[in-house]
Amino acid sequence: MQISEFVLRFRRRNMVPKVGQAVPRVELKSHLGTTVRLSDFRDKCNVVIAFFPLAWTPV
Amino acid sequence: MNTQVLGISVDSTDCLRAWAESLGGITYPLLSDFYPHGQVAQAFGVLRAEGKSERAIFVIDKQGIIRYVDVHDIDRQPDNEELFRVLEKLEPGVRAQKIAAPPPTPEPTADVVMYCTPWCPGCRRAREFFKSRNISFVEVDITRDRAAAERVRKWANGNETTPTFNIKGTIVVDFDQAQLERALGSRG
Repeated sequence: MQISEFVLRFRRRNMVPKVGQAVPRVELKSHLGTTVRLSDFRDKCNVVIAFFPLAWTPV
Repeated sequence: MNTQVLGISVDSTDCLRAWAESLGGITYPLLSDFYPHGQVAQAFGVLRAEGKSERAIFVIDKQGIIRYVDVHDIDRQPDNEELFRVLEKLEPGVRAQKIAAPPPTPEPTADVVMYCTPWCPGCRRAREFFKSRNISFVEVDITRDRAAAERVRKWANGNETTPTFNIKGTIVVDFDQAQLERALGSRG
């Protein structure tokens, strides 16, 4: 592994928020044409955020 | 289930929309982390060096607190059962609302068995292929039957490739019409 990749992975592992922490802010456009804000779901329901690498490339 | 699912990738909304349509529509929002590129993925620590995100799940409760983190093997499908267990802990009794997943089944004894996932476009093409030839087949959903997923991994070099077919003992990985026709031709 190159030094740059190692540094990136090390930084990233430390940057993944942990259980018990507040969720980062999220406001993005969706494929349904809406703008979705994570804060809209506060006090309403639980949220499952599923990151996936790329469309068209399932496992 | 009192839970909202949000998918996120670095694809543009146009790409996500086209992909969702190709899968027959996705009911939950797919969010575009396209511009600024990967900014949200970066905030969650899951932006890979090559510019796409990890395959990762975060469960957030109603107070905006993270209750579960799974930065998964990018080549594997996260286990739905584990996710349901986490959600059940957040909201006991929620599992009762969901139709229970069927228990893992042994290998079906039908002549033609197709291993698939609900969203797989190749599986849809295979269904049409079988229908057009009047060939009856049995489907196994490997997202629910993890024992079956293990079988597919053994056949497909460690991948959960779908569709994968077992035609009376002949394994065909992926929708390869020529291979399928050969296998179908030689069944008893």
